[in-house]
Amino acid sequence: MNYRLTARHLIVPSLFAAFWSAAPAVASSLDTQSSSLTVSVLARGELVVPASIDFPDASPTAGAQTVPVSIVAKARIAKGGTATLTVSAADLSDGGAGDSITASRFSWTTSSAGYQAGTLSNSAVTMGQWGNSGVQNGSLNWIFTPQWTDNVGSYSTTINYTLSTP
Amino acid sequence: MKRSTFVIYIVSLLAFSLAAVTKAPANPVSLQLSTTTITFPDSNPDQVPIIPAAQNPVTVTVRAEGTTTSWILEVIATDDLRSGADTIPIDAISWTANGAYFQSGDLSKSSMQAVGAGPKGNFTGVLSFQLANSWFYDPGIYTTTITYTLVAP
Repeated sequence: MNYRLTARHLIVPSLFAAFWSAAPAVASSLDTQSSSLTVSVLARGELVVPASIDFPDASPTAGAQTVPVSIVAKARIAKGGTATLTVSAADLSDGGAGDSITASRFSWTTSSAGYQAGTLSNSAVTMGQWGNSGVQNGSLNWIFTPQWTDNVGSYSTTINYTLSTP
Repeated sequence: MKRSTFVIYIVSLLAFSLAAVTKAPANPVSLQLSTTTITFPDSNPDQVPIIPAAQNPVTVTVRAEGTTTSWILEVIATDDLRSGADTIPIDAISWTANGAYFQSGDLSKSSMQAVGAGPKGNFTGVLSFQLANSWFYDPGIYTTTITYTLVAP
């Protein structure tokens, strides 16, 4: 069978094509992008200690003298590690007179978490230990008992605090 | 015209129309970042309590064209910052924004956070990321991923 193609035959398909061709574009309206974030954290420590600990003159009869001090130990500690705070000091001297007071006559007490009581020494003595990163506030009482045998003078030394972090 | 020729003609018209419909149009919205890597160097928390990202400022370019009338840009983190079993909460990272239609905020892993919203057009925002530093972070290299989503509703 033969068909004759006329303009009438083109109306429907042409309208169909025009309708779909002119249809609004169905476009994507979404875009995403990703970024990586990286934070580097290294082990480190920092101490805040009193600039001085002063024991004023007192009668040996009065007994032990106490000076309260505050210490802050800040540390970032690797998992499984322990940060350790130690102290040491040379014996106290009165300058040029040649008199001295041994460091071991000074001690401290504390009830702060991680801190421990001890006696000052020429070699390192542990004052605190912690297994977690963070800020450790310590309240300590330094204790010194004057003796009638101490010669008159102004005695001093320097206490060395060392905070080690793994 | 023979019937077979007529059928081919009609099928061709239909194919042409379908091609017009299925042709992929250009995406009317697009998002560009000046960097896809953001790093925070180690710093002493007492000396640098807020650590700026090494890549600051991060430029964000939003293009919303075509039939788009508005856009929304949001960001979400896949997780907290992690280094093995150790974590840093993702909300320790925040950003400040400059540029019309952009806003400041804190990162979150649970809900999308708005970075900006505006009308049709091209816009550039400048973001500066920062990390709240702390002594309580254990040593390590912490990582995570954030994903920006730009949508034209």
